[in-house]
Amino acid sequence: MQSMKQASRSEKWVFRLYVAGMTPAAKRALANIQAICEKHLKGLCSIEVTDLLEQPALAEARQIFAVPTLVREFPAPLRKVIGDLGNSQKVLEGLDLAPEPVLH
Amino acid sequence: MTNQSKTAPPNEDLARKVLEHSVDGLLVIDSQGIVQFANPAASALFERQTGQLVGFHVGIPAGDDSVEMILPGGDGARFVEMRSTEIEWEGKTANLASLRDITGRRQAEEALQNQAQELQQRNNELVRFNRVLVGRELRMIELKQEVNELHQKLGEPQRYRYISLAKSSDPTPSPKVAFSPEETYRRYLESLLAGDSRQCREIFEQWLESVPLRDLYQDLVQRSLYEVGELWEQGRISVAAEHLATAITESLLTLAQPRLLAQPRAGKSAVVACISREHHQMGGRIVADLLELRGWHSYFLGANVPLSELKALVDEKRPNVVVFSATIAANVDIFIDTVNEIRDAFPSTPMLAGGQAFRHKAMERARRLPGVQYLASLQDLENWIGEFEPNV
Repeated sequence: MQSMKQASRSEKWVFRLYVAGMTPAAKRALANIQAICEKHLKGLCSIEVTDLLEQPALAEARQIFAVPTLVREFPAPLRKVIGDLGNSQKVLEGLDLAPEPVLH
Repeated sequence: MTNQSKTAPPNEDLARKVLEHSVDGLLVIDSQGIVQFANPAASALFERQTGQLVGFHVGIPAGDDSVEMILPGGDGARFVEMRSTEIEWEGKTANLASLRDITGRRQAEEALQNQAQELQQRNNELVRFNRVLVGRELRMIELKQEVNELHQKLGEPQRYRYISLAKSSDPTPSPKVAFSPEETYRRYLESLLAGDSRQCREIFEQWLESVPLRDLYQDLVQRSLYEVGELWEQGRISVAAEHLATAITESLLTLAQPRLLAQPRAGKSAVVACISREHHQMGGRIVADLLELRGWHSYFLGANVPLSELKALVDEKRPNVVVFSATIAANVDIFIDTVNEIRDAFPSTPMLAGGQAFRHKAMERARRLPGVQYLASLQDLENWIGEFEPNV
């Protein structure tokens, strides 16, 4: 498993949240990723929101078929988690932010 | 799930068959977020071949709740709800996601949401409106109480008739409990000021069932309109609120019509009119109704009646009496001219006059006018009717 160590501490993580209108689930997802950023990345991240209702063509182009979808755009590799991000353990795993797995 | 050996295909075979034939779309998504399996129902939802879905990077389900998927289908985007649960797939942890088309539901929800927003907005406006008006009204009542108490201390008669000095600490409406004129009156007035015609109608109907019609006119309709009029004159409510209250009252009065028409006829008639430039017709309407209640035939001409029209009608109908209603003291000169003309043209026809306008000093001349009798209240009108002997 790759870890957050790969991203230099001074570089920002870049996330993009794809939504289709600011639905309750979209709002929860945004709040959840903001909280995770604060807690696990000490704010060293930027979160951009893309509304697929405004730019429907992006859904196909970026292969986003579920909303909300959160994409880790930087650092590579690209990672995706979907849902309201309420299960923070899954989010951390999915974005590869989890503490190093304990493998002795 | 039971422990399976790595070569335990029978269960997996069974699982695959169940998944294949499910009417719900099903996807197996691995720990990297990539589709490992898709059933035909899922392919139909995505409008793709099953094979095209496998390998597709959907993402790892990480929600507490269901996920909405938007599928850019041929005929407009469709909305799919996805729920997922963790399973073991080919020996590894994966997510089984079930998909359900909720396009119709979502469209209905959107329509409902729009409707709800609109209603909420309207309701907010009404609540604001209500709060302002009722707040002022309650403050007014307090002030009136204080004034009355001071008058009492000075040994003078109470100045305001229309308030309850009994402090009611229980304003909760109690529809099926014994009818209380005072309590229902207060609620009626509040509803009238708030423009709540439904509540007004309910209370009006309660009164209609519970009290003689004359009391309803005097103690509910007239009293409330006088209070509304006072509030308006003092600038405490807007013209619009006053007109709204009038409009509601007018619509309610039609509920009393069947009762009026059922009264035995007395063979007498009256012409009831508001003078030229007088646009408030409620007073006249009430007088006309009360006359009907006593078996009279009333010809009610409504607001703003030109003098020539009035004379023509009196000439045609030859009523036993002509009644004027006036609410605006500024029209005093028109009133005096009207009375003089009618008296000159029909010297044997008595005239009555009443209304809020006569409370003003400016109307003193009008009250002393020969040939017209001033009535201070509906009770005065009742007394007059009782004593009336046609002098024809």
